[in-house]
Amino acid sequence: MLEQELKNIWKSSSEIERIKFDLSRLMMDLNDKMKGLERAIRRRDRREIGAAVIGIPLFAYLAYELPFPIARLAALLNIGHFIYLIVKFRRMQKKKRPVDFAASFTEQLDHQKSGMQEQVRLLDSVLWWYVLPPYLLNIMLIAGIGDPATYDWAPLLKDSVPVMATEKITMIIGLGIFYALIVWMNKRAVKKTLKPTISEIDRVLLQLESKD
Amino acid sequence: MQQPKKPFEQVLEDNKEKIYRICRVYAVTPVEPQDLFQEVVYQAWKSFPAFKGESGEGTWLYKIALNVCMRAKLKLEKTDNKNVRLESIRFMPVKSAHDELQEERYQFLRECITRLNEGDQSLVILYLEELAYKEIALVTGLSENHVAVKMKRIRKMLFDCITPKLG
Repeated sequence: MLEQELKNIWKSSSEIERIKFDLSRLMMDLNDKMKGLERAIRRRDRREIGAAVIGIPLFAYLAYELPFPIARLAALLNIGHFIYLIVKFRRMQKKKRPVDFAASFTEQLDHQKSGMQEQVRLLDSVLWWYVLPPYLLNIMLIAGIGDPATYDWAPLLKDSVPVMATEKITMIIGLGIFYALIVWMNKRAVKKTLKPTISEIDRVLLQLESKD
Repeated sequence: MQQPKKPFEQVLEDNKEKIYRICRVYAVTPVEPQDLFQEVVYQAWKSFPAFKGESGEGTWLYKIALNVCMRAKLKLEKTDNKNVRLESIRFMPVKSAHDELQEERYQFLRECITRLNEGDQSLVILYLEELAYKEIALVTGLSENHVAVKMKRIRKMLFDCITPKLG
């Protein structure tokens, strides 16, 4: 009796609003929404590799302009690292599987969880693949800048590069702070966003699997 | 023999109330049931080409609706996904058909459903939709036996909660 009453209450809950589809426009609307979302994804993908794309010509110019062999080598290696980042980001973008909303509830949650665990691994290791290599290369570049007079070097860049030891140390410390901030921000995203969400998913999965 | 696949618009028209009921129970301010409904329609439209009809359109849509609503609840979606409104879907309030008493009873039921944990909520919603345990198992990915065991306990909790409220 109560069972049927509850089902009736439940079924009548959709009577509060009448839903009407303008079928002639619906397909157009859905297509527009899909295109809008795809554009947003493309913009995000471009943003991810944007910094690396800007960095390549900058370091190419430095490699061309700087007469100091160690600094030049560091600039070239920096270009190599930017190429590595572009390839890595592109691979990551391709690897991302779209959410299968037609999968069962538990499958979808499992899939979401493994995607987020992958992101945690990536962000947690940002120090080793995103921060440390360019930081070491930049130290090498800065330390490799010698006395411009020795190389008879007088281009526009001369006043912008650190020549004195104090300038070099200041720049290395500044870069260190910048890179430390990147590591901190990524660790924070893992701690504040990803891990709590994984715990939430685990909680729901456990609720479903438990017979109590 | 398998039925020929209906056009998407027809599937939507036939199942719109089911989708709306699920969206309504999961919608928590600032997310409106209409936002969730639109997202379900969009995800269903995207999945429709891959839908072969083996599991039945109802089961297929329940999966999508529950997944969309649960993702919204766990805040797995970026908010900008919701900003695109589908103007071709209109929601018109109906006063007479759904009176105040009925609404009050629904609110009691909703309160009791939301007291359950998220996993149990998904099962009880499918139970109220009058799905067989076999279908509930398909939608949730649990075994039929597991669903039966869980439902026994969930039904008791639901009844204990709602009986005093309905008087």
